[in-house]
Amino acid sequence: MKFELNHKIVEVPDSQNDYRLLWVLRDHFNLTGPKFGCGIGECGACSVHVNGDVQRSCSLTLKDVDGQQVITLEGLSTDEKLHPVQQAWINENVPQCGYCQNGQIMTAVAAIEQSPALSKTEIYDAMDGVRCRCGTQKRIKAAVDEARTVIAREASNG
Amino acid sequence: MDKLTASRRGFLSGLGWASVGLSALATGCTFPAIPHRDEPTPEDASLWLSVRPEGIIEIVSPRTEMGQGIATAIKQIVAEEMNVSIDQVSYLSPISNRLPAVKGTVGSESIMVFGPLIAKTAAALNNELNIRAARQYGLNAGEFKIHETFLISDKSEKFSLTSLLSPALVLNPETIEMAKSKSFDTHGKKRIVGTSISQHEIASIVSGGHAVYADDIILPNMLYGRLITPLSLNTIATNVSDQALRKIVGYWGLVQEDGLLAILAENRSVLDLADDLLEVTWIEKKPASPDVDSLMDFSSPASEEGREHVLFDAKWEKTTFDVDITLKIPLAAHASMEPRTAVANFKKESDPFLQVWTGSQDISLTHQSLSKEFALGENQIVVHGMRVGGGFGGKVSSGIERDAARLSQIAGRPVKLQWRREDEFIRGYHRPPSVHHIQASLDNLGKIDKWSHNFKSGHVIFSSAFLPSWIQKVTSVIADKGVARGAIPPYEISKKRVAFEDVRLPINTGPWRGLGAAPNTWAIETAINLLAIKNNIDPLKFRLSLLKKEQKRLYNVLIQVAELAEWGNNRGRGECALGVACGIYKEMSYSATIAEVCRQKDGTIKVSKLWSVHDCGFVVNPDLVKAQVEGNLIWGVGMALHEKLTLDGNQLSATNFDNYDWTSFIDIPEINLKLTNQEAAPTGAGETAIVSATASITNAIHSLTGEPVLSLPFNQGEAHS
Repeated sequence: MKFELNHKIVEVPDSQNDYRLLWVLRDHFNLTGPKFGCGIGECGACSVHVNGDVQRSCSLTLKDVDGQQVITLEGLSTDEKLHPVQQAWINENVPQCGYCQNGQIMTAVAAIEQSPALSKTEIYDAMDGVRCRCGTQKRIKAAVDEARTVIAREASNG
Repeated sequence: MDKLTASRRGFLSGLGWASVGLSALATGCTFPAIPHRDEPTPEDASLWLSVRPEGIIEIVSPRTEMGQGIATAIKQIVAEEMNVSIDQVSYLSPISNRLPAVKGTVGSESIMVFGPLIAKTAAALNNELNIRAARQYGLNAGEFKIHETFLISDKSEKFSLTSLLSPALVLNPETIEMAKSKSFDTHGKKRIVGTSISQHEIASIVSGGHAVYADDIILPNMLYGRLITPLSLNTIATNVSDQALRKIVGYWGLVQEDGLLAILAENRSVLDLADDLLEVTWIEKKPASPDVDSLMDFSSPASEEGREHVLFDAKWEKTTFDVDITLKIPLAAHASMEPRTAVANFKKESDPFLQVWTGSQDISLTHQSLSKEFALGENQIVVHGMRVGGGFGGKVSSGIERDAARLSQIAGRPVKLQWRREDEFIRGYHRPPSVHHIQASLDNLGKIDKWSHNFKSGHVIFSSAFLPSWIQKVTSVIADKGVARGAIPPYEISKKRVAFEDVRLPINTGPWRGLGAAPNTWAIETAINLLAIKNNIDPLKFRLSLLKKEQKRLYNVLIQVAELAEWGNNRGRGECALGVACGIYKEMSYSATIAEVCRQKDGTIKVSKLWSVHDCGFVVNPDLVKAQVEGNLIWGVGMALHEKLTLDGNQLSATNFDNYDWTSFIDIPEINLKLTNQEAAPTGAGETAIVSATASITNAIHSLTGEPVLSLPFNQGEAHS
């Protein structure tokens, strides 16, 4: 079976249909962005985009992404330039231990890009299901606000 | 060797690896015991730093980065002293074969204890470089810069750095002792120390691509392991059969031996199949009796080996008190986002050699216990410390490296072992529950006349997680310092009695952010607040009037937080109210916080604002220290409103995140914080603000509802009434 992974078509044996997407991404494709946190889709550390939607890769099998487009943290920036959300994360110096930030960033990108008209509060609600233990949420808020402004400006500049 | 480096003299043989302390007695326990370690010496430090011929200053860090920002701070100190840019400093995570045995990264003391020594060492290295530059090239200190493989003079002349580094230079301890550093000279001008530079590895964290955590390590031919764990305590496996798994492509096999039950496979998807295909009969033993609740109840008799540790022993005639309350704090989980992970590569050839990659707060302890466990020489082991994905005291001691190494030894291949979230809850250790009985009275002048604080807590340091029960019994004559932390009130009190009992619990407990300081200060600050309210005194003025004369720093943070929150004018609005609390972490760092809580439309109470003033003395990186304070405040919200783990028989109330609640994104209050007293010597920020945050919130709830919060977390059900 084939699927698109970070803008390239990849192939995996059909016999691995039931393999967990998170393990295949990490262990086969060596993509360290998505992390194992809870294994039950509760914390969001393993988040990826499937066709632009944020999904928990620990709760998906390869079968679920057959023929679909999968983007991981590594695939957010296609050239030298970071995605505005990633850049905002650096500007606001968000991470502490850093382990959850994949899920935070993937969730923020999906929320902001899919629905540019979402209010701040609606984006915060979207972020609520992603856990952070260190307590970086204050900075995540600031980074989300910053990225939202940058993306809106870029969109209006065409 | 063409780098300027410290002498390897005495390396490994005399560097403390052989010291065992209590741990020698403690084999067979879940976790290796935490040994006592001395403070770092200039001799240790002489091995931390070197100048690479490519113009890079390399530091093998004696500290573990787990989000607290120590890597960045260390780079800043080295860059400051060596007169180079931050990009010219290469920070290597702790590696056990390149470091003398070193204290674990605990107790928020990295900057206080290690910072000045790192600064002196870098200054000494810089001096030596300057001496050579003057001798060989006639360059004066300050008239050149290191740029790639050259020294570039003020006149843009280029001189070889490589030839300056030969012969290798011995940085002796006396040189380090004598060196004059500038990083911690609070009045001196500095280029890099004192500025806010980003978190180390931030680029990899936000965009992936590099191995940062232990789980990012992939070795050729590596197997994946998983422990088979029951979902209840006191439960053992019998009749394990992997018959059905053996047919699965990629399954390697079952390992079943004393203390280790695990499966191995070529990939983790095959490990997942064990949930359905591995047949295990679990035998649940009778739950421990008495249970946690009875043990933590004052009405129950002291536990079998219970001894009371008395810190103050004033006596008085039978009397009534203005305040007579019992406060309860439950078990709580560390819930670090990264589950424990270790990769081990045990080569069994003629020369056995074990390499381990792990996210541990203490790589020296790991090295030492592996050496003992596998009867390997000190230099037959290398432990690579990776970035820790959240520690909070939970990753100080762990058996995962031993298990990974054993699995690798058996399989003859590298093995990655990762705890599942369930392992973290079932196998990990937790914040102990505690119960506090406080009685206090004021005299006619409004001073605290009598103060009695009796408390019981599960162990923090002499925990059953680290010590077999017989040693724990022996240690009951010694007070557990982790439990006692923060138990002495900073207030003027005429007669005080403070005593506690360590209780051995049927569940692993251990260090959790702040250790005893967080629960003890919460209890004290709740009682103090209640004393003020009962006597119709403003709780802030009350504290200011009662603080001991020597508590100037605590006094100052209280005064400043009152200004920040406009305490005098800001009395809360409508369904909102304010609360204040203050506290000291380890007699070194000071914090005062004011909380505003508001009743929501649905009747629940939420923290809307926190103002906090923090005095940890001089700070190397203000933004990263602020991040630590923010994290502490958010943990305070969790401690006050959310966090609770209970044990019912053998059943924990949570074995994964779906049943364990802490502060979430929408709970985050507006945070307004200030760092103060930068003229003082540096102390620590990692566990300070939690001591004042929790009580500030519950005191605000008291102010809103009229009822003190006596049991954590606050029961939102009560908010409706």
